[in-house]
Parts: sequence; C-alpha cells; structure tokens
Amino acid sequence: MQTGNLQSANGRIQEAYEELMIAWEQVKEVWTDQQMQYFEDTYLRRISEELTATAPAIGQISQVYGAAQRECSE
Amino acid sequence: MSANIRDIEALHTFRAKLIRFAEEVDGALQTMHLETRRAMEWIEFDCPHYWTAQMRKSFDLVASTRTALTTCQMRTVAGRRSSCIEEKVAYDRAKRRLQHCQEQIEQIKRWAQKIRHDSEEFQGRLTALRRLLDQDIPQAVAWLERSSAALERYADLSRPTGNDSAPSPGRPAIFPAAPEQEG
Repeated sequence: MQTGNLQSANGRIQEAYEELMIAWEQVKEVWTDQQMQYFEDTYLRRISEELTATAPAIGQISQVYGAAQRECSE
Repeated sequence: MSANIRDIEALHTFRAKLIRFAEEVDGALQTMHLETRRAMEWIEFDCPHYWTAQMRKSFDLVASTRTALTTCQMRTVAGRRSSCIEEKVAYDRAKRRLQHCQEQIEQIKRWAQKIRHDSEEFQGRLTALRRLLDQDIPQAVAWLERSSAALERYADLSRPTGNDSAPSPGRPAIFPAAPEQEG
C-alpha cells in the first residue's frame, strides 16, 4: 500500500486546477460581460467546490491508510 | 444581453485548457480508485495472510522452545540441574511473539472495518468528482462551444463590408473592425 500515490494524485489535481485558473484569469482580461460571469458562477464555481471538498478527503484517507500501515505491519 | 469579448480565440483556448484539466483529473481519479482498492486488498487479504502465517510459525516456535526448555530442565550435569537461562529466554520470546501475532490479527480486524468504512465514504466523494467530469465539465465545454460559435456568427454579421470601417448601428464596440479592413 502506497499512500504517497494518493497525495501525488491530489497534487496533480491541484496543479491542473491552478493552471486552469491562470488560463481563466487570462480569459477574463478579454471577456467581461454577464455571460462570462454566468460561466464562472455556474461551471467554474462547481469545479472549485468539488475540489475544495475532495482535497481534505484525500488527506484524511491517506492518514487512515498510513496509520493502518504503521500499526498492521511488523 | 450584450456581449463584451475582445478575443473569441480566448474561448477556444480556454475550452482546450478545460478539456486538459478534465483529463488530468480523470488520471488522478483512476490512481485514487486503484489505491483505494489496493488498500482494501492489503488489509483484507495481505495482512491477515501474513499475520496468520506468522502466528503459525510462532506456535511452532513456542512448541519447540518449550520442548527445548523441558529437555534442558531434565538434564543434569555432574549431578546438578542446568539453569537453562537461554532456553527460558527463547521460550519467553517465542510466547511474546505469539501474543504479538494474535494481537495483530485482532488489530487487523479493527482496521479492516475502519478502512472499509472510510474507503466507501471516500469512494462516494470520488463519485461526486467523477460526476463533475462526466456531466459538469462536458456541459461547460459545450457551453463554451455554443457561445464562441454564436459570437463568431455575430462578429461575421457585424463585420463591415467593402471600405466601410465604421460600426454598423447595432454593432457593439466589443468587436473591433478587423485591421485589414480598415482604411
């Protein structure tokens, strides 16, 4: 069992999200109407909420697996 | 609703970034599913198998060290009984090892229950993330496609013809005249 893989998967998601947000900031420089706001409020907020809820869950399950590994191994 | 976008290409670029983001999350999700399954297999099969085998070995060791101790205790050298210290230490160590193995087996049962429960909860969270990839992001991508197509159509309609570089009456200032058509 390698709990490090879970953390690296989490890192991969966070990194991809940061890149996406940088790209979004660039879009916002040229797109400033209500449609842009709708897109941000509807879709990007949902992505943000899901990731915000997932990150602690990954940390928590990694800790559980890590503790199990320590206590159930030699 | 009026539009205010200076570069429709930015929407195409962002759409591609969004697709790339979804691919990355998809890869991460697959890794996490795999790790969760591995953890379950480890605690439910590998660990019990390992500690059960260790317990059997410990039983054998307890038996053999007890025999060695008994044999030693019956032995007399020059009319004196041996102290059998080494045998006692080995027997005690074997008994402690057996006890540790038995405790580990109980420990594993408790951890297996917790890991099963927590992993199921975690899988639920991953399912929500999967929904994001299967529903929300494709919807967002489709929305971007529709919007950019509509804006492109609008820009084409609004584009001045011939040498007329002045905006048409209903044309928003957001679509500047193409440089090659000006002048």
